Amino acid sequence: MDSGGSSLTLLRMTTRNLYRRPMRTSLTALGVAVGVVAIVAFTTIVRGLWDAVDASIHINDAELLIFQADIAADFLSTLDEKETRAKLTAITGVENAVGTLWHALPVENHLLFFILGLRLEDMGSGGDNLIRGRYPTSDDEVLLGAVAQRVLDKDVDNTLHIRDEPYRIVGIFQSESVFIDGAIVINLPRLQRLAAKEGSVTVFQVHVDPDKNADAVGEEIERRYPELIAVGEASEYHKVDQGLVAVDGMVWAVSFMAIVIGSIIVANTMWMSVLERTREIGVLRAVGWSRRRIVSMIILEAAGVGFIAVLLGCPAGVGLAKLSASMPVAEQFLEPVFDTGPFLLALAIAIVLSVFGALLPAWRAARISPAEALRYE
Amino acid sequence: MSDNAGSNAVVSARGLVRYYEQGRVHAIDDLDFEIATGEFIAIRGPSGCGKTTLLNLLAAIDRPDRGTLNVAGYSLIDMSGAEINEFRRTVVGLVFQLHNLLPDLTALENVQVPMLGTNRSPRQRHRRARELLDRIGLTQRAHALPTVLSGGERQRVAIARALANEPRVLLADEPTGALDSKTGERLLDLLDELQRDAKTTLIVVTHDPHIAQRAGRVIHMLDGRFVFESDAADDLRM
Repeated sequence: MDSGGSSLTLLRMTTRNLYRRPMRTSLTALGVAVGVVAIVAFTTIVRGLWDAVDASIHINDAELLIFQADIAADFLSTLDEKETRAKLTAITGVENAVGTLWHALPVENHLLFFILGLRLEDMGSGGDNLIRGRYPTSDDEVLLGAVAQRVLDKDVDNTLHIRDEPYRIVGIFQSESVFIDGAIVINLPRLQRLAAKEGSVTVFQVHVDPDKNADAVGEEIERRYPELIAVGEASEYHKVDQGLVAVDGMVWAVSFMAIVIGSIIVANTMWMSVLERTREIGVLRAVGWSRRRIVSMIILEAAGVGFIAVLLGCPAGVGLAKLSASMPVAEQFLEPVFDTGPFLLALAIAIVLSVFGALLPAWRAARISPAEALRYE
Repeated sequence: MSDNAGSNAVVSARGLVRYYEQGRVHAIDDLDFEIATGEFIAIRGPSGCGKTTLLNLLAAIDRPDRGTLNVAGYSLIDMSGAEINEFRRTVVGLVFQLHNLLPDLTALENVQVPMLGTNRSPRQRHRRARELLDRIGLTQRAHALPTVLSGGERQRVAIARALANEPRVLLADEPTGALDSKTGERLLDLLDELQRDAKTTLIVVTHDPHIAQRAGRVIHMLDGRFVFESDAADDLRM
């Protein structure tokens, strides 16, 4: 007795239709997969960037970062260290303010490397992130972030050269921010001298009194000192740097283009498929299939192509994101985040746009007259 | 045209007209006829005389331009889209000259195709298809694709597909046209048997005098009209 395992369903028919032309199905899916690769790779990278920005804002448990107002990029912020500290500590709710200078200098054989200047007494002030060694006690001692340590292939007690000057590595730290972990931390006055920025810092990390609202403190700082900008969350970072927003926009533009191209490929394939199957569709109409069922069959096929594209594209997207993050320079600040979001997004977009590509062919299939189709050779 | 059907008519047409090319070609030209439940009708005539057009009208895959056409209580002139689908699915079964099986589906699956969209469960559809394949002697070929079936086997599967939803009228367009005479004879035996058992009305369009020989009535068409009607014995003498 047959178990019913060969019961025909619309889904089974769809699978057969996709399987009928394996090469064409694969190539079409590959076309859509390019878009999936773009979405997965770019989205995981951008998500990593945003997470890193968020972690950088809250480094050492700080609630706010204070930058110079009206700047084009965060790196260009220049604040007078003493004057700004005085302004900030005068605000009710500010517990303390730690000035940091951001700079990039040639290190070993790297043309530019991210250097963070912090006063020796401020190092480790917000919590102990040290994973090896100790904090520096003099100008010629440095800390390495875990990423910088890996990139430079140095460790505690090794010497490294910043602008050909030797520094002793005394500790390795790890934070939650890949940006900070990609840096070398050096005594602030030493970096100010190296960067010819005596008395200046880039940013202040502000710790807010636990009884006060950090947002309200930030607003008060901006109100009293219009020359300052307070950033409390990654979503506010555009106030000091448009770069990430621009990257976000570019990523979406590239992904969108890739997906549109994929959608056109699906449209072309499904159109050809409908033309080839005119007679078959006519038979289906003649035996009582409704237009809706014919449309469903074509749409399901397109969704199947989208699904295959996701299966092909997701691993490739992960590979591309990892490859990008391992490139020189990029490895210092890129750490893709592989949570479910980008994959679900890729799945949704691939299927929706594959289906979108199939709408016109499906409409054509639904319009096929059975009498004409049965005459079709 | 004589009326052999009386009140028992499953098909009735009055003033039926179907034309093409903006009225220049009258494929069906003012036909009046009735067909009784359970009749076996053969429609003969030269190519282009309107046989297939008539069959398409009866199957509701083409629409008349004028007149009335009723099949099993459905008026084929003014049916909605949903009614047409239901009619095609449940009232008529179609057998084409070329089997028109779906090439990627097995024999068993092809027979299930018209049952998709009915209220039969997948298991019921499967069981029904199995029964039909048993009935036409293709149990062992249930999982074969059409490409590996012989011409006669394909046409038998096509008949099983046409019978899937237990239609009241079975329409066949040159069902033996692509078969050798021996296979064609066997297929006709099967059609005959199935039609008698199910008391289905069978309307066959054919050039083949052997089919006409088995029919209760033979209608001869020319230029879209019925020119005369004979019984099977008359037809053989012609």
